[in-house]
Amino acid sequence: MNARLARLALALYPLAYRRRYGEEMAALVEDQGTSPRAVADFARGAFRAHLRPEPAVAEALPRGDRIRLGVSAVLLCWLLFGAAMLAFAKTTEEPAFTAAASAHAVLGGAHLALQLLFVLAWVAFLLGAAPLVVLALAQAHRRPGVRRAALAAVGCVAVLIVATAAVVLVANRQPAPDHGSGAALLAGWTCIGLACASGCALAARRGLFAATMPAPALRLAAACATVVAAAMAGIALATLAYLVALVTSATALASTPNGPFGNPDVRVSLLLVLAVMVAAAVPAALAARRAWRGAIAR
Amino acid sequence: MYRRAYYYAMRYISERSTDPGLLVLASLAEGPKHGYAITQDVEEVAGVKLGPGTLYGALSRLEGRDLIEALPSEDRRRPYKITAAGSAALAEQLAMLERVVDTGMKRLRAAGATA
Repeated sequence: MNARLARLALALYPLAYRRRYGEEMAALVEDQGTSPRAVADFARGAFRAHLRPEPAVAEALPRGDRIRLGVSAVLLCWLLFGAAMLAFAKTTEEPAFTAAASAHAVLGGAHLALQLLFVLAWVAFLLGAAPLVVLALAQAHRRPGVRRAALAAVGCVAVLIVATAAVVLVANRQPAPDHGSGAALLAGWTCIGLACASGCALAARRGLFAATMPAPALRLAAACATVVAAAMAGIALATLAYLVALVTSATALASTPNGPFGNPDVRVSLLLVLAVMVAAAVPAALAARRAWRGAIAR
Repeated sequence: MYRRAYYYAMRYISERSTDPGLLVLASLAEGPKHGYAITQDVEEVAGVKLGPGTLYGALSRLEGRDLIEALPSEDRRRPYKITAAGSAALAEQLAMLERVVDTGMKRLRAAGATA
């Protein structure tokens, strides 16, 4: 049990550390034996290595791999961010919010900025990802690693499609599900969606590492990942402005109970959305910085 | 119960207050060693058991500052040796610690004389 936990803790280390010290660490664990204390020490070391990586170790990673790491981390964050955006759209879908946005300039401006940045992020995402996907798929027939990653991604998408179809079927059934069942259905679908999105992102990361990518495609992906990360930060700021404007200008609407998970209050719902956005935008910014450094490194 | 709590508290304080980098350098001053040999030596000399995360955190920091260098690997156990810069840094650290110990002992003796 402890040996398994130690292997898991070793897998928590950044890739650069695993490549440089992984074998030695595994040998040390074999010699020393594993104990809960050693496993905790391992996990603490992994956390520190992520938080403050030793530059000499991190920079020993090839340039292409640094870009691959940064880009795949931005993708994972973007998918989590997408879930928050979906929750925002569900929270503010009532016509009353559109009317409030027309009546209050700041509210309307924040909403428009948020939508424009979302479109910009999607365009950058597609522009950066498309060449990588095409190049990876072209190698799928001769590289089993790429093929497995592509199949895993397709499997995740298929699961999401089946789950969505099931939710739509249940939601349209007569009599319609009550409020509690509807919220539970939405929560379940969100969990499946997040699991599928994470599976897709991990499969994309595996495929990215298994395929050979030309430097210009990786540099373009790094630049697009930077745009996506910047757009995420902008959207989070616009959401904050929207929330503040809603609370100050449309107090009655802000206290309406119409959150996506049956929250008692729109403010609480939007605060949760904002927290998820920040939790995704901060690591995305750090990852984009790493990808960008990899792209400009000589 | 109280004794056990006291023992664990003292062990925790002694482990936290000891710089793993200094212990690793002191161990390598004897000659090249791999990870397990370093932990064994440190435990024997200082009574501190370095965990794998702490040890490799210290090794990566020391290697990044060119205070130690990795030797060609024998198998999966790669030995490390102290560099000239590492020896100088260790000597400086130990001299500083010696001054602290000397001063502390003198002050304790003086306090004992006046008490």
